[in-house]
Amino acid sequence: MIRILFIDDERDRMNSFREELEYHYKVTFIDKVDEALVFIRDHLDDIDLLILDIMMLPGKLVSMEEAERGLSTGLHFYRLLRKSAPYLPVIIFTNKEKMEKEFRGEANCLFLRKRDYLPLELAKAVKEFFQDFRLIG
Amino acid sequence: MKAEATSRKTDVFRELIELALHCSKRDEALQRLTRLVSLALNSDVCNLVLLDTKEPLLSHVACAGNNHKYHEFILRRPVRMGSSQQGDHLDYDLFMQGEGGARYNLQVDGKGIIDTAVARKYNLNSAISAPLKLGSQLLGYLNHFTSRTTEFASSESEILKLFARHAELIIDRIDKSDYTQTLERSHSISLALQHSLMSVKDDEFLKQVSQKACELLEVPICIVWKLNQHLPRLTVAATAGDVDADVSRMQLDLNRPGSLGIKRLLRSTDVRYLPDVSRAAANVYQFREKAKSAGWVSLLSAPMSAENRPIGLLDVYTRKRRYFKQWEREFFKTFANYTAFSIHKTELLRRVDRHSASLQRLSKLGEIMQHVAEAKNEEKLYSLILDKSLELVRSHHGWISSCDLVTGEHNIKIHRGEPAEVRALKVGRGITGQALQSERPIRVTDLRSKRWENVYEEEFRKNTRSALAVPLVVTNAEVRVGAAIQQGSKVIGLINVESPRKRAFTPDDENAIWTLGRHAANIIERLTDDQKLEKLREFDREIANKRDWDETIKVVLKAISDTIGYEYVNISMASPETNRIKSSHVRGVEDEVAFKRMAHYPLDGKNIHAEIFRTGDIQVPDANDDRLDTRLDTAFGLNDLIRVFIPLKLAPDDSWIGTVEAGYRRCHRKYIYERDVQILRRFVCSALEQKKRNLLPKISHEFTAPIVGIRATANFLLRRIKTLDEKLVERKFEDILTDCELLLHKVGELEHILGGASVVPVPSKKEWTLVYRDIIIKTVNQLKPLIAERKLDMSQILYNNTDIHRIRLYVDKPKLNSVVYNLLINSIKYAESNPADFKIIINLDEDKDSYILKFRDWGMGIKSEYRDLIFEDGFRAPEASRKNVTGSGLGLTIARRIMREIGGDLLLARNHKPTEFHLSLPKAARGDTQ
Repeated sequence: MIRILFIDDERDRMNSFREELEYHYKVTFIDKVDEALVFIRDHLDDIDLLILDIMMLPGKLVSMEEAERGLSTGLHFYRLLRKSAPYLPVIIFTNKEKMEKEFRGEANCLFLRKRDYLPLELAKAVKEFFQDFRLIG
Repeated sequence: MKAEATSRKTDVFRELIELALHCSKRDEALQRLTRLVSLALNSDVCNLVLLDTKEPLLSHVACAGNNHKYHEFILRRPVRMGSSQQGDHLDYDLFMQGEGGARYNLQVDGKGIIDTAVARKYNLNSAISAPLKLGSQLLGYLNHFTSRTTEFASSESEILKLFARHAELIIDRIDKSDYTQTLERSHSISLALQHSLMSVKDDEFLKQVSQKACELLEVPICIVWKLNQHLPRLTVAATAGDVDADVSRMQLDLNRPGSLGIKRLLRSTDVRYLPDVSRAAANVYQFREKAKSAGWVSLLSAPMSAENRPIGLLDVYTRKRRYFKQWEREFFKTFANYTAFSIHKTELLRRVDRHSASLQRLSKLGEIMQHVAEAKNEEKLYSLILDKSLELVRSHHGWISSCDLVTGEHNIKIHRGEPAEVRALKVGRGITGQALQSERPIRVTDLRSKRWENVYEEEFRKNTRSALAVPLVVTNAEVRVGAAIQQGSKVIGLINVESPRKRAFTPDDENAIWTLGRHAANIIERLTDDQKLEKLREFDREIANKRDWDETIKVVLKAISDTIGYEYVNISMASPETNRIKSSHVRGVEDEVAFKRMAHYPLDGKNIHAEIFRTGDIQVPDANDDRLDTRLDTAFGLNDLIRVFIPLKLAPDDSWIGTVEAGYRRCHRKYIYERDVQILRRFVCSALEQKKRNLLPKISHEFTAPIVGIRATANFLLRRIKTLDEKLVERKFEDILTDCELLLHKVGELEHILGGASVVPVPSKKEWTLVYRDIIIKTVNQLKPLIAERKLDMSQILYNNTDIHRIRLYVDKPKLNSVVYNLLINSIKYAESNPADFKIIINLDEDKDSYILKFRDWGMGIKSEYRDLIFEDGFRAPEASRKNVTGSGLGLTIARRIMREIGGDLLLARNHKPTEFHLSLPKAARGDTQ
């Protein structure tokens, strides 16, 4: 079963996405950036795919100013992650549509707008993306 | 299918936002908007009409929908408004009310909005309309027609209103962008004309003027009239566009009866606009028959005058009815002024020609003027002017100075020859000082003669005998005096040439340099304006990056001082709720706090801020004007300033109205120049509006998250409900309810952004209300899901049960509800992270006139420096941003506005542990009758 780490600070709003994913995959949901970093450090080998939000409180990751008051936290998180996990498949799942250009051309990365996906559609998108990744990888 | 429908709707609203924020062509944007309305509402016809209230006519600019035949019918012609009582189908009075609404059974009764025959022919039965407004100005309507006979749902009306607000944004935004483009076009046109001025013959120059006028306003026809003072008669000097040979033979005898209007126009500084010349009265317009046959429709006519003498008229015509905006008229007037100046300059040159007999020299002067016009940089320009002036008058010694109107000095910027000393000179003293003061050239044939004894102070060179001092003056500068625009002059600097020989300079030399000087002054002025605009554009960019309202205003004030040169700026905001206008930001006084404490006035009083707020006039008052606040002016040394007062009207939200007052030391300045006034007004309005517009995408963005949440949860329930346990289903519904509550709250904020406090107040929905039972307890219950979600304890929201039946008031319940909601949701959102610390206490107190509801919480609180800012639009404390990434910063602004609207107030009584808000409710509401 694919093991997913889902990072999003809106835990309640993401419940239905998480619960649908749980019908198909093993999901760990974390709503704080700092906790997520610790989890990745300790369990990187147990993660097959990461779902990451962009607009989140930055915690200790970067300053509020750098994170544009939280509007670009996920981007900083992604850049840091890529240093230790360059090949981990990552789905950026966000309402911050303007960020798409920041991820254009990124390998092993898929940008999805939350508004375009219902829970089951996200589950399918995960499957397809992961299959593609395995084919390429 | 469902996903497809959702996606289609999402696409419609996405395109709507894209249109409102990015589309640059008005007609195209409005056409696309009507198409989106027809998609969203499934209209048989959706049209957007703009009003020409003077005529009065509807000009249809956009139409879409399923009924294509109707489009062809309606887009073909303008439709006249009239009186229903006299059988007209479109009722002028109804349209002017500026109210929308639903109307049914249109095939039997057109209700003043449609001809019943048209409704029958195109099978239209029902309509809803939403008015389009910019501030208090009614622009037109957005209408949704259907063949249905059933009643419209309230959601249809709400959606139409939402589209209408976006249409207003489009009209307003694109108008501003058109302004900037016209401004840029105007500069390049002036430059092109400067090039031709000296290199082509008079006739050809005027021909170019007429062509450029067409280009400036994008009109098909232009006629340049020249005045023969002696006959007196206007004759056509040049034409552009599609005009026949007859036109060039047209004449207007000013001795004829009926030419009074034209004579007045020639003497005035105003522009005349006739929407349809074929309908104008004979004493207003003399060429009706010609206009009809040639297909001329709207006319804009500007007088041309030079040195206060009328010299002609500049007319542009359109082939379709067109409304020329105020700023288009201003551009046209400036263009006419410029043309007049150019024509006058060629006359001056001819005079030089007559006196000098040196054709070679004349052609040289022409060449120099052309070079000067092409200069791109001030420093090079000064060098060029000086070197060429010296060349023209065969001298090697001279300088150019620039005036400092604060110190009254003029400083040598550049010189040639070896000066004895370069130092600051005083306006009014010495020969050059006198020339500057009189704004006329002074030619000295022998400095050692008695006439100049003790006058010559310049001592530029020890052995100087002859001198020629020529001021650099913009002679056709528009200046503001009182509320009127007048012709004035602007002294920029001076050209001084000297010679060791007696009688070195002739009257022809004087004429030539005087002509060159005035031409150069215009170019210097243009370069200075360009620099100002470029600097302001930089500030615009800086403003766009500011997230904080207070910081934005600080940049605006800095830009005004640094770029336009005002030493003192005061921005005042009007508050219709308190009926006062009050200084909100000031620069250039020593004690800003003390200034703000004094600078506030009743809106219906006689103070100049209140008056221009009411009248919308720009004013430069006389120093003794009794509308000025002498107490304030004396206390802060403002008596020495020459000041302009400009009303600030920020469409479409009238609650953001105020004034900007700016000034500089009177010293040696005579005037405030209109160009600076307009640059200032445009800059402040566009900076503030830009900031406000930036809030819109922010708010829109905040809608997405709860909608995504609701949709995901609903979809999940739909698919999985049978397999879920009851508790989980319950929690999911609570999630949906929480997001719905948040969305409703956001709708309030969106309304504030889009509509604000409209001039026509929304009718109040008052009802008898038990404030505790119907509002406070109800709101606490509404927030239950959110409280649970945050793992907070409901029982820690405390109030006294005996208060429940204590206040019964006749108030607008939904509005009061939204205020209480706002206070409580903030207490929950900004509670300390430990749930054990959560507590809200609601107490009731009263004084003679009011009940005071006290809301106390022990959350993160508000820093004392933010006490006043929390009520300002868009303000978010950094601590709040740290707690929640999103948030518009409008909640408390709206809450306070609502409380003041209903006669109460909202105050922050204590900022920390506990944070305490006081909500005062007037007891008078008890006595209100139904």
